[in-house]
Amino acid sequence: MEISRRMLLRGLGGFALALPFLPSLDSREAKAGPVTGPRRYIALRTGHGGVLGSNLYPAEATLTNAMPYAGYDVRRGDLKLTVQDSKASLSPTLTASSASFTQALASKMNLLRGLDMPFYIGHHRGGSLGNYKDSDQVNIAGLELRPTCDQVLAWSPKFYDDLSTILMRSMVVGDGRLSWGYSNPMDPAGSTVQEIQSTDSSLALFNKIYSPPVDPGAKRPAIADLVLEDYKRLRNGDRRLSSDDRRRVDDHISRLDELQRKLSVSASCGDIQPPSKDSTSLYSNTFFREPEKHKEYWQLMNDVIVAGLVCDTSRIVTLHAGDWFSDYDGDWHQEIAHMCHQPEPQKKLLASKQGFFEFVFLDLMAKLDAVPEANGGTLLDSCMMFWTEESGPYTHDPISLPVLTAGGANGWMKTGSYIDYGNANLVGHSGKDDPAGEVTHIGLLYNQFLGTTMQAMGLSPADYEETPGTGYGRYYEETAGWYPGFGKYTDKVRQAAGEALPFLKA
Amino acid sequence: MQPRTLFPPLLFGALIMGCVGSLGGDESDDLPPPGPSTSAFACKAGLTPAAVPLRRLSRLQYLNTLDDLLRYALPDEAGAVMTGIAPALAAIPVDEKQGPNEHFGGFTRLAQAVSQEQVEGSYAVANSVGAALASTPARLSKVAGACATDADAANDVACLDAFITSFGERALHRAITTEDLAFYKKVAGAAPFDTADWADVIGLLLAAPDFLYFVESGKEAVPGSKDLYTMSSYELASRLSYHFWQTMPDEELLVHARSGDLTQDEVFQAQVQRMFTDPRTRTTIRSFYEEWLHREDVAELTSRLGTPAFDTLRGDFTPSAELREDMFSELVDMATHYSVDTKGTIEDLYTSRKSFATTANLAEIYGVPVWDGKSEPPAFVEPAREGLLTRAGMVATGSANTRPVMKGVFIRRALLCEQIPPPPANANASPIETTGAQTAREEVAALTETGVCAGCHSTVINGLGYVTENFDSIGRFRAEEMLIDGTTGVLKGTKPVDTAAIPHVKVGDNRVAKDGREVSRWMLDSGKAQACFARVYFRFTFGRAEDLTQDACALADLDAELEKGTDLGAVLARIALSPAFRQRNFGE
Repeated sequence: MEISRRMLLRGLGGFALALPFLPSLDSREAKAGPVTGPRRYIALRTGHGGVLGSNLYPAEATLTNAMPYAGYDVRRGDLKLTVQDSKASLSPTLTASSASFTQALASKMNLLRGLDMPFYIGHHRGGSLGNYKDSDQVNIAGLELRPTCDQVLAWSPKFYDDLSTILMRSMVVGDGRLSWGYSNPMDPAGSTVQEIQSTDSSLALFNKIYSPPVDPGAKRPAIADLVLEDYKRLRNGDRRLSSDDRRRVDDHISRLDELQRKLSVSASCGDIQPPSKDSTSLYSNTFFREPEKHKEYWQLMNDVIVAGLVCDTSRIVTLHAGDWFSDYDGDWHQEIAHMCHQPEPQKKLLASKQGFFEFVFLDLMAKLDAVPEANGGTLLDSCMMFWTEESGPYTHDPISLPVLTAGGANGWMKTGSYIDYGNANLVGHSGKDDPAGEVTHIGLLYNQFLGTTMQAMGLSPADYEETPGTGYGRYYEETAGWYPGFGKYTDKVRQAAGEALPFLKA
Repeated sequence: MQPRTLFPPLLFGALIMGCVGSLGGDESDDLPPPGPSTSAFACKAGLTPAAVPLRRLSRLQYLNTLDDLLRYALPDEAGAVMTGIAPALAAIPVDEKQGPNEHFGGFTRLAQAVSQEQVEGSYAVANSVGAALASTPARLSKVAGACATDADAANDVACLDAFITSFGERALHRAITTEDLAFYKKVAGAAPFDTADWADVIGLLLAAPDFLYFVESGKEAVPGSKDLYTMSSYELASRLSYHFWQTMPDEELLVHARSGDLTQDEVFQAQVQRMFTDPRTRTTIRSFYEEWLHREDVAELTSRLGTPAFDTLRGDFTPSAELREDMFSELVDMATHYSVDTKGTIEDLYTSRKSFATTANLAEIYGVPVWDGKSEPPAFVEPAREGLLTRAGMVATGSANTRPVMKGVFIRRALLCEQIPPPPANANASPIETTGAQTAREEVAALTETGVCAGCHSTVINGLGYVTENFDSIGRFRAEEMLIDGTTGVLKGTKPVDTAAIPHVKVGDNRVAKDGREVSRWMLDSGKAQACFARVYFRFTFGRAEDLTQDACALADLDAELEKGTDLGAVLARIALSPAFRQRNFGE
């Protein structure tokens, strides 16, 4: 039985959403093929990293196909679930109840290995979406803050070719500092780059993505136009202002323009009722060690995210989660995250990441996949959804960053693969001094992955590259000799950065 | 409360696990690396304060101003209106602490980004307040006078003009011009005006740039200084009021702004003195200390109740749900006591042996009577308890273990205003000891004082944390450290604490300090405590990071007073007398 939007959203945990007839559900409007309709971008990011390869990836034997690329062989294989004792699994981390983790869902994923930032970044947040300067330790001369790729999309007319229903260009949720944008998105050259505020409240998010039915009766015109005029009066008047003052006023004017646009949005989510519970209501002094509450928290958030996408009041999500899904009561950062190659800490870390996979990533994925689209696919099929981590298997270190994708971006991307972009003949970390003996291999550039996600959303490299052929984000190579990736990135790897990653494009 | 990431802050693991780079190395920030005392700010003739673009009101200043405006416009019902618009106010984003050294020594006033949420939030609030003040003719007549609601349409224009002139002067922090009058009443259309017209006018005023930002155009060019202007009297009134009171000028200040005499030295100084003794300044000074001395890494003291290791540590002591905040409040109470209530000095901050614990739970930790907040604070009985560094708010962690590294990091970055070089790529190799065989100091030393990590842990971090290891993670004095198995909570034994360490307050100073008391004195003797105080207070005052070159004169002035032992209240007030406070640089 096909699950309708109406049925699905009634069943969401936080609230009931009964939808009226939506144009996007009208089969008469459906265009041929699965590549029509809006695409959605969903980026999930967790803190630290540190999961050993053996706990994150399927067996090496899974990689049955090889293809020469960038001077060496990249390899792929099919993602196949194994089921045992009611647990379905691609790897110890990517394990969930077999009732929810099905082969059908697995076939809509890609698991990517061997994506590197070729420089030491240490602790960072925005780096996961291309703002490498947002790091506590990065030391690159001349590196500046830059918008993250979600915000480039948010203000791209190619991505949002129709804003008539869009109340939030992007939903930014969870821990902060993942998403960064221009202070004046309409004037990047005159802008500073600043953090986009995130929300940890599912109710606050709901209030932003939900447009209540408008009373068709007499409505007094909004004063936004006069407010805008007031700022222009200051901007262009004869009061003494510095040039930087004027830039700040311009920033505000740009935001008022966006406000005016939103005041004219016409979106309909029917008789949707506000969620009965807010994610922040779960907080307490002991929340940090109560994984059951973490599960509920993210499911509340996921419900609202799905509602925003279904109502088409937003098409972009960034979700940042630090360290969740553990009852450990010690000092997580010191004793687990940075001890993660010791057996016990790795076990706890693994449990935490598995929880995120099952109760955040897979939960969201399944909810999206339960929503049919007019083009014959599901809401998930329209998405470029991915989860990455702050670091690779070595914390502080962005060699071999893991990426799990879901959805096919409306047919742009092939799915169902485990792909290793690492060069099997070029070692990054030797594992010699590591208690777990973890070996990494130098791979393709993370810039190339981010650029691929942008292309999946319909952008051309010229729309996002700082320098042609470098993918998304500043290209820089570490100059410190102690860095495991020092001197190991070849011209061929660099030259490939502007392309879509191999094996992915349909 | 947020999830786990709240209390192991982003830098923590990085720091404890190691670092690369060398002291005084390649730091791109404008903060100096650890080195000789920075107390000698190089003030030279002709320096102009750094230029800063249009600043916005902080969230706190915005809320306070709304509250005061409502009290001015509708004294009897201001509280009800504020309650009514609470949902709209909740959408105004919270300002996070910011500063040149991450949150260390950072303040919410430095959060100057303007987001879509802020613009939309303030627009919604403006409309809500307008609708509330004009919600009924009865209320509107209180706000604007009977002329706003009487049957005589002929007086409507004059009524609206009078309202815009008076309310607008307060909302926009300047005199209302004829051009302003024409602009702000345009939304009302032609008389007669109904309540919706009035609501729109009020909404427009409260969404105006002069309401949300500190729009400063200056008065006169300062001779010989390119781009430097003196402030107008209204601008000075706002600077004073928003610095000392976090809200709009009061009526007395407005009188001086209107007359223009606030630009005269004697009038200005008299106003500074008047304002500093106002209770609102006390509240502001508290917020300065609250933000400066708040340690982000301390978990709620109840967060690990019921866990084996913490329960073994605490024994019969049961922390209250408020204990963490009580600890921080005690720091603020102490600092406020010496800054506002008495003529204390910075030396008192670092050496006081008085307890400011106002709750039984915290007083029990100190073993002293509860302070009533008014009379002379009780003296500590523990000899080791002396000054800022030894108080519970500075040593507690909320877990079963002390964190010498985090204590050292806080002192180095927040109290000495120094940077710490970055950590290495990875240091997962060393297993941490959680079986209760080692003291916290021994664990940290084993983890961080060999190899590349030692470069900064041994020199700028650990020593500053070791010297207060005679206090446990709840803040209690201890001579012996309990060795507790982190998993089972079993007490394996005890070891004497060791507080002797080389704190390297100054590079090249290899003296061993006996404990935190001695380090406090060395911090004062080095001049670094005073210099850092000057720097953080400068940030708080001007809502921006200091430029060590261009702002050197204001910094040097504060620093010199602190070094002389001038009382803290006089120092805190003195900033308003500096040229930096009364001038603005309109350059790039």
